This record gives sequence, C-alpha cells and structure tokens, in this order.
Amino acid sequence: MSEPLLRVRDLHVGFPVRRGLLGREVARVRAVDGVSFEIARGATLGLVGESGSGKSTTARAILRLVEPSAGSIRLGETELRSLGGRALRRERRRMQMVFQDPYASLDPRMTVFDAIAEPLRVHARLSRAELERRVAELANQTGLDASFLRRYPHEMSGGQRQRVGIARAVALRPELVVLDEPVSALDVSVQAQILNLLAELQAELGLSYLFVAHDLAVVRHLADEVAVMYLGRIVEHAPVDELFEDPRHPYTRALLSAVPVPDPVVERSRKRVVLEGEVPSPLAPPSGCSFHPRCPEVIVRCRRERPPLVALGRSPREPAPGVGAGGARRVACWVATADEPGAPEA
Amino acid sequence: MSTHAATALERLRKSLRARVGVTILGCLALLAIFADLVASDAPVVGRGPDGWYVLPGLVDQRAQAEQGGAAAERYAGHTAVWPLVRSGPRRSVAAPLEPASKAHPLGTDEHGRDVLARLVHGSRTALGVSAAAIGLGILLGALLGGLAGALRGRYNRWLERLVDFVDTFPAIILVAILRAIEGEPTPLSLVAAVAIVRWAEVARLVRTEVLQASVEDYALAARALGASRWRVLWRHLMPNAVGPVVVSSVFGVASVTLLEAAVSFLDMGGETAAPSWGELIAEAVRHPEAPWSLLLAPVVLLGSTVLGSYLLADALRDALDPRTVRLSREG
Repeated sequence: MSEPLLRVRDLHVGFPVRRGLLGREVARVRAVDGVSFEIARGATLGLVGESGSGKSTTARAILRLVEPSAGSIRLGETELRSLGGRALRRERRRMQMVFQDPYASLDPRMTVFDAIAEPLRVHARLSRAELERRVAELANQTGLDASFLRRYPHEMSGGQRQRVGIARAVALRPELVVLDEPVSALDVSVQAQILNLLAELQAELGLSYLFVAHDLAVVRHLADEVAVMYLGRIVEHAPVDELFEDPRHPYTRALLSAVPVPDPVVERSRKRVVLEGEVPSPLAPPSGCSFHPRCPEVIVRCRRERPPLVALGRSPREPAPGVGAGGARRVACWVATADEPGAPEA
Repeated sequence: MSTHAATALERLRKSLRARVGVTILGCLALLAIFADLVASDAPVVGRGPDGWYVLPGLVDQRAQAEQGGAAAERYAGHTAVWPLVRSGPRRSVAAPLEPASKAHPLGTDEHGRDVLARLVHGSRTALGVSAAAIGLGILLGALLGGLAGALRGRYNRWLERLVDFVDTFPAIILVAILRAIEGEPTPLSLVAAVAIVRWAEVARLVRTEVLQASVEDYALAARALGASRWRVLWRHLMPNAVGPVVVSSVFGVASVTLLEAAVSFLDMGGETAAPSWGELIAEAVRHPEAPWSLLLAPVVLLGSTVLGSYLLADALRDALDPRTVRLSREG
C-alpha cells in the first residue's frame, strides 16, 4: 500500500499540575497516553471519544498547537516534532485546522475577507488583485456568497461562519486538515450541509482529514476508519463499517448504542448499553484497564493489567482501500481478545 | 476599522455625557492651540520694520528673543491685527494685582502680568503636559505590556513585579525627585514623571487584554495558520486593548492636569517658565486682598477640564463595553 500521509507513533501529551509558591510540579495529567495511527492520502480517520478522552489534545498535538511530551509525528517525510520556529510555521501550510466553535475561532474585528485572506497573507506573497481573486474563489468553493466578504462574523449564522473557517483552512491547499468537532456547535439541519461541503472539498482537493468528534453518527458519513479514544488511549480502531456493524470493545458498544438507528423496528428492539458514572480523572486513572470501573463486562484481569492494543485476526471483509495499518482492526480489551490466537495468555 | 468602532461611535453620539465632555475638552484644546490669537504681546498679523509678519511672536525668532522686552513696541507704529489681549503671559505690563480693566480684562497677578494671558497660555501647559505624558505612557506601556503578554513566562512575572513597584510611587514624589536632579525646573520633568507612573497602568491593561485574548480560539487559529507570534500579537491580541487604554487615558487627562496644577501650586523647585493654573491659584491664596477672579478663573478652568475628561471617559467606557445595551435615553 502507498506511504501514509500522517504517521503518529506513541504520542504522549502531559500537562504538569503545579502547586504552591514555587510552582513545583506535583503531578502530571496524561491527556494523551501513547496514541498511534496513520492516515493515508485522501483518507479520513475519525477520532471519537467523550469529552476528556484526549481526542482534541491529540489533534492539537499533531498540529504542534500543544507540545507533545513524547512520540513521533511524521507528515509525509517530515518529522514535525523536530521542527521549531520558522521551519514549523512554513510547514503549517501543509496542515490546517477547522475549529469547533465558529463563533470563537474567527476574530470579531476582522471581516470575512480578511479572515479568509489571512493564511494567504502569511504564506504567499500575492498582489492585491490576486488575493481578491483567490478569496472570491475560496468563498465560492465553500458556498459563501460574495456579499458576505465585507461582513463581520457577528452578522452571520453559525453555518456561514463555519464555511468561513473551512475556506480559511483550505486556502493554502493543505494536505491534512484537522477537523476538531466541526459540526457539533451547529444546528442539526446545518450539520449535513457542512459535512457534504467537507466531503466535496476532500474529493476536489485530495485532502486527508483527521475528524475529531464525540458523536459516532457524524463521523460515519465521512470517515474511512474510526479510532475510539478513552482516557488518552485508543481502545478500538477499525474500518468504519466494521466498527458500526461489529463493535468489539464494550466502550464502543456503549457509544454506538447511544446513536439512534433510523429503522424503527431495530431501534425499538435493540439492546441499550447505558454507561454509569463519568470519565474518571486522567490525573488518577484507574488501575489496569482504565475503562474497568464503568465496564459492564469487567473480569478480574481488567482491574490488574492494562490491555494492549492488539490486532485481531484478519477481518472477514476486505480492508477499505487506502486505509492505514493494513485495515486490520485493533482492540484493547481482555474480554474481546480472549479467543484471539495472537492475544497474550491470560 | 471595525463595526465595533462604529457601534461605539454611534453610542457616543447618542450620549449626552460624551457630547458635553467633548465640547468642554474641545474648547479647552482650541484655546490651548490658538492661545497666541487670544493673548500675546505680538500681533497676529503685523507690519514690522522689515515687512509683513504672520504670528511674529511664534515665527520671528528676533521677536521671541525680545519677548521679555519690546516686542510690542516694534509693531506699535505699524498696521497690525492684534489679539484680544495685547499682553503676553510672561511680561509684566502693569502694577501687581491690578483689578480688571479694559486692557487687562481679568486684572494682573502679583508680578503685574496679565491674568487672562496666563490663563489662556496655562491651558497650553495643562493640556500639553497631559498629552505628552499620556502619549509617552501609552507608547511605553503598550510596548512592555504587549511583550509581557506575548512572551509570558519569566518576562511576564518580571513585569508584574515592576508594575506593582512603580504603582507604589506617587507621581508627585517622582516630580520632586526629578526636579531636584534637574536643577532648572521645566515641564519636562513633569512629563517624564507622569509617563513613568502611567506606563505601568497601560502595561497592566494591555497585558491583561493580551493574556485574555491569547487563549481565545481565534488566536489559536491564527497560530495554526502559521502566523508569527508578532503577527498574532499585533493583528489579533493588541486591538483588544485599544478600548481600555483609551478610557484610561481620557481619565488620565483629569489626573495629569490636577497633578500639574498641584505641582505649580506647591511651587516645587521654583518657578518654571511655563504659565500654570496652579500657580495662579497659589497667588490668589497668598494674596487674599486680590480680586476674587484671580482664584475663580483658574479653578473654573481646572474644574471644567476634570469634568470634561470624566464625562467623556465615563461615556467611552460604556460605549466600548459590549455588555451594556443602553442605547436609548442615555444621560
């Protein structure tokens, strides 16, 4: 298979907890605790989890907006972690981000034109005429009327603002776009429009997406693969259809049971898994499998040992084309991997 | 620059406080700028020995050099357009503490100088010192505050301590120290002292706004686009501080004017060349027998400066605050 665009290996992000007058570090929050995945060119990886699972931090660490404490992030041939200052800023044109909140992520003092033009002004030396032509083209591409260009963000709806955010992100024709919950702040009716726009742009510009979301249903339309995160770790990683049809990790099953099914018969008859409690504090993660206090299928081993993320036997379906890691699905759960030939002995 | 500025302007236009404040400060500023048209011992336009002169008191170096002496006489025989009061602020023109007369509408002070001339030129001192000191304070404060907000870390903590330290110094003590160093007292020491005290306030405001805005998504978004730290600071963070700094600076006009009056009143380090309202008040206090206008006139001018800047600053604060939605019946 082709060389993946983005390869993340064993990524760790820790935040120090400081106390006292001298700001001594008394603990470390492991927001991201050893995450690895790959994204092929033109493909989409959905990164799903509850709030506090570390999915947004993972996304931001990849863009070096928060500093990773360990691990490797390769974009094409470039190791992003070794870059700094000017070199990193130059590399940023290859990777862009769409933010969750289209209200907060646009400078209220800037017109739509200036917001979309900013990446071009930073990275490309264009004449005024070229700049105007390019911004108009981007507005058109993202479904914004030319009359919006002179407006301010507060004069626009959430969906329109998010189009501005997307136009800004694709202005430099990046290879990777990180979508940090791009539709979760929008009305349901607008969500579909934005998701369609993202799909169109991906086909048109050959973008790779890292799609961060807390809602599995939103990810389904766009993603080729889905990685489910819990407390800073990936607990299941699978091609999207397999994950939806046959979730292996109890946590994935719980998340999926919260997604409504359009068929009323299925919807009424299916079993719901309702999780109890909240995500534990990453400051003091539970022993063993960090999901065990909430897991309906917990066994003794879960409390003692942390299950590794292991590849399951070749899945019945062919791997989705262009998907990283050979398309094999991986699960971190003692129960789910108990009968696997390659699984560690119990 | 933005619709924020437009809304603020619209609100200001509707505010009675702002209109009164702007009118008072505007009149005082005009008085300060055109002081030489109101009171001067040289004509506005006059024919001197060598031909025509426009504002010879300002333009003609020779006339300026002779200001203590016979500037007026040089034009006496010739055609000239004279200012309202034909006396400058510095030269003694009559007996001390003369009551009001046609030539000297507010009488003379203890050195026989025209009181109206000194009042009018005193507004130049008051507002000039304010503008210079506040401008210098903004420059210094924005630079240091912006740097602290952008660089964070050690520099930020260092600045915080410095701001706290500077804040404990009353400006008037600083003036005293600077005047002691200076020897010959000038308004410059006053400007320097005020700038030294005021930059700390501006720096604190700028630093707070920059720190607050730097955790906003739009600042992060700019960084994600690849904008440099300085671009983010200048384009996205610093504009947030414009409002608070403007409000604080307009309030500052009142306090600097009062400080200037106080310094002159206390006669710190001897008399300066510049005429001042505070000095007139001091004279009135020293001479209870002097006409009441000697006390009243400078007090009224001082009071209206303070009132004008308070009204305008107060209206500005409301106009720039996005949370106040008081649009109608503003008073």
